[in-house]
Amino acid sequence: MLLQRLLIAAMAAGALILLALPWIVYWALRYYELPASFDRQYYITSLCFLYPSGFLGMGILYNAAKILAKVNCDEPFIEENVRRVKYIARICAVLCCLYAAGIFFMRSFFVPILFIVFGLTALFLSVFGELFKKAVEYKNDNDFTI
Amino acid sequence: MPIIVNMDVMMAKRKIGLNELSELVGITLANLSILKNGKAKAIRFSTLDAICKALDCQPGDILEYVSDDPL
Repeated sequence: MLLQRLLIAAMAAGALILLALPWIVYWALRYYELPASFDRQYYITSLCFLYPSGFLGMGILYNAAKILAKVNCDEPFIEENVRRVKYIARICAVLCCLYAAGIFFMRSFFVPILFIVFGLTALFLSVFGELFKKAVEYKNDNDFTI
Repeated sequence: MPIIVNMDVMMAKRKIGLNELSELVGITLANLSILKNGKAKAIRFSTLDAICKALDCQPGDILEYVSDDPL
Protein backbone atom coordinates (compact mmCIF):
# COMPACT_ATOMS: atom_id res chain seq x y z
CA MET A 1 0.00 0.00 0.00
CA LEU A 2 2.86 2.34 0.94
CA LEU A 3 4.70 1.40 -2.24
CA GLN A 4 1.60 2.10 -4.33
CA ARG A 5 1.26 5.55 -2.73
CA LEU A 6 4.95 6.21 -3.33
CA LEU A 7 4.55 5.30 -7.01
CA ILE A 8 1.52 7.58 -7.36
CA ALA A 9 3.45 10.38 -5.62
CA ALA A 10 6.43 9.78 -7.94
CA MET A 11 4.17 9.93 -11.01
CA ALA A 12 2.57 13.15 -9.80
CA ALA A 13 6.00 14.64 -9.06
CA GLY A 14 7.23 13.45 -12.46
CA ALA A 15 4.30 15.12 -14.22
CA LEU A 16 4.96 18.38 -12.35
CA ILE A 17 8.68 18.23 -13.16
CA LEU A 18 7.89 17.61 -16.84
CA LEU A 19 5.55 20.60 -16.89
CA ALA A 20 8.09 22.83 -15.17
CA LEU A 21 11.11 21.40 -17.00
CA PRO A 22 11.96 24.50 -19.10
CA TRP A 23 12.05 26.65 -15.96
CA ILE A 24 13.92 24.01 -13.89
CA VAL A 25 16.62 23.59 -16.56
CA TYR A 26 16.86 27.37 -16.98
CA TRP A 27 17.26 27.80 -13.20
CA ALA A 28 19.77 24.92 -12.96
CA LEU A 29 21.94 26.31 -15.76
CA ARG A 30 21.84 29.76 -14.20
CA TYR A 31 22.63 28.29 -10.77
CA TYR A 32 25.46 25.95 -11.74
CA GLU A 33 27.05 28.16 -14.34
CA LEU A 34 27.78 31.84 -14.29
CA PRO A 35 24.74 33.88 -15.34
CA ALA A 36 26.80 35.73 -17.89
CA SER A 37 27.77 32.52 -19.63
CA PHE A 38 24.21 31.25 -20.10
CA ASP A 39 24.29 29.15 -23.24
CA ARG A 40 20.92 29.12 -25.02
CA GLN A 41 22.04 26.37 -27.42
CA TYR A 42 23.03 24.16 -24.50
CA TYR A 43 19.70 24.93 -22.77
CA ILE A 44 17.78 23.64 -25.82
CA THR A 45 20.06 20.60 -26.15
CA SER A 46 19.47 19.76 -22.48
CA LEU A 47 15.71 20.00 -22.97
CA CYS A 48 15.96 17.74 -26.03
CA PHE A 49 17.52 15.05 -23.84
CA LEU A 50 15.54 15.63 -20.66
CA TYR A 51 12.02 15.68 -22.17
CA PRO A 52 12.27 12.19 -23.76
CA SER A 53 13.92 10.94 -20.53
CA GLY A 54 11.02 12.36 -18.52
CA PHE A 55 8.36 10.75 -20.69
CA LEU A 56 10.21 7.42 -20.70
CA GLY A 57 10.61 7.67 -16.92
CA MET A 58 6.85 8.19 -16.63
CA GLY A 59 6.43 5.07 -18.76
CA ILE A 60 8.58 3.10 -16.30
CA LEU A 61 6.53 4.38 -13.35
CA TYR A 62 3.25 3.62 -15.14
CA ASN A 63 4.32 0.02 -15.87
CA ALA A 64 5.62 -0.43 -12.31
CA ALA A 65 2.28 0.84 -10.94
CA LYS A 66 0.39 -1.60 -13.17
CA ILE A 67 2.60 -4.50 -11.98
CA LEU A 68 2.07 -3.51 -8.37
CA ALA A 69 -1.71 -3.30 -8.89
CA LYS A 70 -1.70 -6.90 -10.18
CA VAL A 71 0.52 -8.01 -7.29
CA ASN A 72 -1.93 -6.42 -4.84
CA CYS A 73 -4.78 -8.33 -6.55
CA ASP A 74 -2.89 -11.60 -5.75
CA GLU A 75 -2.06 -12.15 -9.43
CA PRO A 76 1.72 -11.64 -9.53
CA PHE A 77 2.70 -14.45 -11.90
CA ILE A 78 0.81 -13.60 -15.08
CA GLU A 79 1.87 -12.97 -18.68
CA GLU A 80 0.91 -9.29 -18.44
CA ASN A 81 3.47 -8.68 -15.67
CA VAL A 82 6.19 -10.41 -17.71
CA ARG A 83 5.33 -8.13 -20.64
CA ARG A 84 5.47 -5.05 -18.43
CA VAL A 85 8.90 -6.02 -16.98
CA LYS A 86 10.14 -6.41 -20.55
CA TYR A 87 8.66 -3.01 -21.48
CA ILE A 88 10.58 -1.45 -18.57
CA ALA A 89 13.76 -3.21 -19.73
CA ARG A 90 13.26 -1.82 -23.26
CA ILE A 91 12.59 1.68 -21.91
CA CYS A 92 15.84 1.46 -19.92
CA ALA A 93 17.66 0.32 -23.08
CA VAL A 94 16.26 3.35 -24.97
CA LEU A 95 17.35 5.62 -22.10
CA CYS A 96 20.80 4.00 -22.21
CA CYS A 97 21.05 4.80 -25.95
CA LEU A 98 19.77 8.34 -25.31
CA TYR A 99 22.45 8.99 -22.70
CA ALA A 100 25.10 7.32 -24.89
CA ALA A 101 24.31 10.06 -27.42
CA GLY A 102 24.12 12.57 -24.57
CA ILE A 103 27.79 11.96 -23.74
CA PHE A 104 28.69 13.89 -26.91
CA PHE A 105 26.20 16.73 -26.42
CA MET A 106 25.86 17.30 -22.66
CA ARG A 107 28.81 18.42 -20.61
CA SER A 108 27.97 16.72 -17.34
CA PHE A 109 29.82 14.12 -15.34
CA PHE A 110 26.52 12.35 -14.65
CA VAL A 111 25.65 11.61 -18.28
CA PRO A 112 28.13 8.69 -18.67
CA ILE A 113 27.06 7.45 -15.24
CA LEU A 114 23.39 7.49 -16.34
CA PHE A 115 24.40 5.65 -19.52
CA ILE A 116 26.03 2.89 -17.44
CA VAL A 117 23.19 2.77 -14.88
CA PHE A 118 20.44 2.49 -17.52
CA GLY A 119 22.48 -0.04 -19.50
CA LEU A 120 22.98 -2.25 -16.45
CA THR A 121 19.34 -1.84 -15.43
CA ALA A 122 18.18 -2.83 -18.93
CA LEU A 123 20.37 -5.95 -18.84
CA PHE A 124 19.28 -6.87 -15.33
CA LEU A 125 15.59 -6.38 -16.13
CA SER A 126 15.93 -8.44 -19.31
CA VAL A 127 17.33 -11.32 -17.25
CA PHE A 128 14.66 -10.74 -14.60
CA GLY A 129 11.96 -10.76 -17.32
CA GLU A 130 13.18 -14.15 -18.59
CA LEU A 131 13.23 -15.47 -15.02
CA PHE A 132 9.71 -14.13 -14.44
CA LYS A 133 8.54 -15.71 -17.71
CA LYS A 134 9.81 -19.12 -16.54
CA ALA A 135 8.08 -18.62 -13.18
CA VAL A 136 4.79 -17.92 -14.99
CA GLU A 137 5.26 -21.05 -17.12
CA TYR A 138 5.95 -23.18 -14.05
CA LYS A 139 2.96 -21.70 -12.26
CA ASN A 140 0.68 -22.42 -15.24
CA ASP A 141 1.97 -26.00 -15.36
CA ASN A 142 1.39 -26.35 -11.65
CA ASP A 143 -2.12 -24.89 -11.96
CA PHE A 144 -2.95 -27.57 -14.55
CA THR A 145 -1.58 -30.38 -12.40
CA ILE A 146 -4.66 -31.98 -10.93
CA MET B 1 -0.49 -34.33 -26.03
CA PRO B 2 -0.36 -38.08 -26.74
CA ILE B 3 -2.06 -38.96 -23.43
CA ILE B 4 -5.85 -39.07 -23.78
CA VAL B 5 -8.08 -38.93 -20.71
CA ASN B 6 -11.04 -41.28 -21.11
CA MET B 7 -12.66 -40.44 -17.82
CA ASP B 8 -16.05 -39.71 -19.34
CA VAL B 9 -16.25 -43.28 -20.68
CA MET B 10 -15.65 -44.77 -17.22
CA MET B 11 -18.02 -42.24 -15.66
CA ALA B 12 -20.75 -43.28 -18.10
CA LYS B 13 -20.07 -46.97 -17.38
CA ARG B 14 -20.33 -46.37 -13.65
CA LYS B 15 -23.29 -43.98 -14.15
CA ILE B 16 -21.61 -41.32 -12.06
CA GLY B 17 -21.82 -37.57 -12.62
CA LEU B 18 -19.11 -34.91 -12.30
CA ASN B 19 -20.58 -33.48 -9.09
CA GLU B 20 -20.71 -36.85 -7.40
CA LEU B 21 -17.24 -37.80 -8.59
CA SER B 22 -15.74 -34.51 -7.39
CA GLU B 23 -17.20 -35.17 -3.93
CA LEU B 24 -15.88 -38.75 -3.91
CA VAL B 25 -12.42 -37.78 -5.14
CA GLY B 26 -12.16 -34.62 -3.06
CA ILE B 27 -11.16 -32.22 -5.85
CA THR B 28 -13.08 -29.23 -7.12
CA LEU B 29 -15.55 -29.47 -9.98
CA ALA B 30 -13.43 -27.00 -11.96
CA ASN B 31 -10.30 -29.15 -11.64
CA LEU B 32 -12.22 -32.31 -12.49
CA SER B 33 -13.58 -30.60 -15.63
CA ILE B 34 -10.02 -29.59 -16.62
CA LEU B 35 -8.96 -33.23 -16.21
CA LYS B 36 -12.00 -34.64 -18.05
CA ASN B 37 -11.62 -32.25 -20.99
CA GLY B 38 -7.94 -33.12 -21.45
CA LYS B 39 -6.74 -29.63 -20.50
CA ALA B 40 -4.62 -30.88 -17.56
CA LYS B 41 -0.85 -30.95 -18.00
CA ALA B 42 -0.21 -33.54 -15.27
CA ILE B 43 -2.01 -35.69 -12.76
CA ARG B 44 -0.86 -36.48 -9.23
CA PHE B 45 -0.69 -40.14 -8.18
CA SER B 46 -2.90 -39.25 -5.20
CA THR B 47 -5.60 -37.88 -7.57
CA LEU B 48 -5.28 -40.89 -9.86
CA ASP B 49 -5.56 -43.17 -6.83
CA ALA B 50 -8.72 -41.39 -5.65
CA ILE B 51 -10.31 -41.47 -9.12
CA CYS B 52 -9.52 -45.16 -9.61
CA LYS B 53 -10.96 -45.87 -6.17
CA ALA B 54 -14.12 -43.87 -6.89
CA LEU B 55 -14.65 -45.38 -10.35
CA ASP B 56 -13.40 -48.84 -9.36
CA CYS B 57 -11.06 -49.05 -12.33
CA GLN B 58 -7.39 -49.19 -13.33
CA PRO B 59 -5.32 -46.14 -14.41
CA GLY B 60 -5.22 -47.65 -17.91
CA ASP B 61 -9.02 -47.45 -18.06
CA ILE B 62 -8.97 -43.67 -17.82
CA LEU B 63 -5.62 -42.85 -19.44
CA GLU B 64 -4.65 -43.87 -22.95
CA TYR B 65 -1.46 -43.31 -24.91
CA VAL B 66 -1.94 -42.37 -28.58
CA SER B 67 1.24 -41.72 -30.52
CA ASP B 68 1.18 -38.43 -32.43
CA ASP B 69 4.14 -39.43 -34.64
CA PRO B 70 3.06 -39.80 -38.30
CA LEU B 71 4.01 -43.26 -39.54
